[in-house]
Amino acid sequence: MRTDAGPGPDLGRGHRGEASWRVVARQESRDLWFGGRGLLLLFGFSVLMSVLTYLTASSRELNFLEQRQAVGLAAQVAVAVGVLVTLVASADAVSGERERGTLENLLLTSVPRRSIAVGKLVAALTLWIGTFLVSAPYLWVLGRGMSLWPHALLASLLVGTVLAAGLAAVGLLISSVSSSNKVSLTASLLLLLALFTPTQLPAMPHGWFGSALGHLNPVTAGIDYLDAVLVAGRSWATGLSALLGPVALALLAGGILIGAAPRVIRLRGGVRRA
Amino acid sequence: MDVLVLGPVEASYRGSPIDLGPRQQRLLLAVLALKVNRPVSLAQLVDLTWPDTPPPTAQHAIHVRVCGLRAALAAAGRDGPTDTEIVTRGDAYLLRADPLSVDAHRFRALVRRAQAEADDEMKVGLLREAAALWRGPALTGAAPLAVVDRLCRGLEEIRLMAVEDRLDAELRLGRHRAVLDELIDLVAEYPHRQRLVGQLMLGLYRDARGPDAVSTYLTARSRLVDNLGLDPDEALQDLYLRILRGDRVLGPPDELVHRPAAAGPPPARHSRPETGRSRPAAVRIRLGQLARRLQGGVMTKAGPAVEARRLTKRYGPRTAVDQLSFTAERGEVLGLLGSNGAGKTTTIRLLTTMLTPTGGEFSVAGVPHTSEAEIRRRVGVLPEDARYPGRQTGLEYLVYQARLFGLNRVDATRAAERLLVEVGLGGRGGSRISTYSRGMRQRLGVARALLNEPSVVLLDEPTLGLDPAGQRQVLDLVGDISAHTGATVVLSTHALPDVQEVCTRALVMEEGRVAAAGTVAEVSAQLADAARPGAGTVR
Repeated sequence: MRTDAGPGPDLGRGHRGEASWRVVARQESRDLWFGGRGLLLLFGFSVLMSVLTYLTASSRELNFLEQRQAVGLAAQVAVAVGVLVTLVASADAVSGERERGTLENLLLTSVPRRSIAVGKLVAALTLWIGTFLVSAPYLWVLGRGMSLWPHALLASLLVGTVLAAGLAAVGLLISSVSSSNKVSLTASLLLLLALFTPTQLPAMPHGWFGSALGHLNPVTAGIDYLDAVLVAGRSWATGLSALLGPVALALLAGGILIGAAPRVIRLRGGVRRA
Repeated sequence: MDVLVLGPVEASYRGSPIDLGPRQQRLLLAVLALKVNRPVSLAQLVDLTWPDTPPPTAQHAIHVRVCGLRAALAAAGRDGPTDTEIVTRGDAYLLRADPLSVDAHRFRALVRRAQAEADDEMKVGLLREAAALWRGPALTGAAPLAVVDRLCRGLEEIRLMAVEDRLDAELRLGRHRAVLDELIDLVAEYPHRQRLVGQLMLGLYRDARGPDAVSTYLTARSRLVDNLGLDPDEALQDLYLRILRGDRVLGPPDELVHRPAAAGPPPARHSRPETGRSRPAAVRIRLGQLARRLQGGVMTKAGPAVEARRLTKRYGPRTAVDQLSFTAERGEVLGLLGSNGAGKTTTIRLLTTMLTPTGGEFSVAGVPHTSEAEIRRRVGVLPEDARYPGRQTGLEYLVYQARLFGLNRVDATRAAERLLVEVGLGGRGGSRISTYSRGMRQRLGVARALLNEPSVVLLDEPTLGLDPAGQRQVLDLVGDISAHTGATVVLSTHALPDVQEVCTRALVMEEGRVAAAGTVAEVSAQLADAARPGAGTVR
């Protein structure tokens, strides 16, 4: 039996320093942000939010949209795009480093693979935090005049964080097992597209099957919850069961990532051969 | 009056040294002396004194320096007129003097006389006399390297040719044993000078070390092909074939062979030659510090530092490493030699736990291969074609890596700074890695491999793609690690000279299997045998 647990409990703690996942997370975040990739994605995100806010504000002035709908739409887009950006970062985290040739030196340290996985996950989630902070003023602009914007912020933070954590973990898993970075990014984006498409379909099957599908798809469930709280004005607790999907995804994907990290975060991607 | 430029620039009159003043003034005299009795324009003097950006008052400054030199020469000749003076010719200056009063011209004259001399004893004497005029690199301390190169490149070439001429004469005189040590050093320093390689091959052959002569040729050929894309010239190829044929004509001239009865056995070929040649201080490992740190590396059990038993790695139908068994003892440097695709990198990656073996087992520093994290804690690795994040500085990178090995920020910074100095990157730690040359990156990689105070250091092709100077620096580092710290080093390479330079034992791999193993001398001999026409592969 091979062991990769390293020192200390699961996530490893340097014998003379802080937990190794924090060291990895700090450096990965620094690379993400100071390397320019994070700032570029955030810039694109802010342009998108500006255009969206302008259009929704105009529609509201023309009475095409109610204020609640405008805020709900902006929150949904902020969450969806924020999650997309996080997924892109996590899908590049292992396979990209593998292709750039810098993964080997990281793997050659005594840091447990689980710490590497958690560190990279946390770094990817900083992108979600960044997009959330950028979207906050837009939600405030659209929701001012009524007490909606604090709800919009809180609901976006809750749904977005859970979704981003789950999908970032999925992205990291895909990135770890992909044979190339291109495969990883393509597979991750296809997955997100598949999960997001039902939210845009005019008619979903009704009945228990449709409801089950909606609850099982974490993206649909998250967006529906935002819609229920922000547009339909339901209480926070009423549709809470809708969040079971996103929470289950975050727990399951996170658990699989941490459990499988010693086997999947390795020098070569692709399907493992003997 | 004597003017000396082959070394620090100096002048003397009747044995008394002349104070030549500041650096630029000495450079001025050196330029005029090198072109003695020929005018040197003011523009040329300005260009040589300030090669980058001359100050607005450059010409005036040259006039002042000339005045200073004239005063110094006049002061030296106060007892009577000297035969040396600086003369103004329009906008140029000229040093009027006997050319033989300048050591560079005296050197040229001696070399010309030696070339015309038919008697080898006389030739050797003249060339030794010429070589003795060199007191160090030309114009030492008087000019930047670029300017020295412009002024003295021809002189340096003549010096090397004179050395080659003298060695030829010594070989003709049957003194091959006396010049072998010098030849080994010269070939290491100038690996692309084929005449020197040929002389070394001949010297070795005459010293009854034919296999070494053959391996010298093979090494030189691979260096020429790899570095310059050239084959050895016809003369060298012809010499190689004649050595393989055992051509009697190549033997020492019998009547002149000098074999003193009391002479001991020839020096061990594969021990590092003690040449007295000092390494650049920046590259020299601070051995005491490193030794102390490496003593912290713990071997868990007694026994070999690395032990592999029937180690196998397959990728689908292809077998990269096939039933490989070997050991590396504590403190030794084991060379893993083989061509591309022989399985060296796979073996290193198996030993570093980057790959999982398909079969067999191994232990590193007494730790079984199943304890991967424990092995990684005890080994230092320089991977093949290691890449680094270009945006980080060398110091940031090493600090991060040290922190991954569990050091706190203060200790990590201290260790990183110390290692950067030890590998000769002390002045570049704050620069981004993207600005480093390949040689600097390899040295950064060596520093990274030593961060965790390893018991076993695994280096995968550390000299690949480096120029000769870079190869020398990296091999010096490897030698220092192994010779003075007690760490075991496994060095994977495709270059036999690397192994001969630093290794104590070698393992030749072919198609994932051990093709030859033993001391470096034994392995070199087997390779030489295999290189003979009609011979099979090494087994």
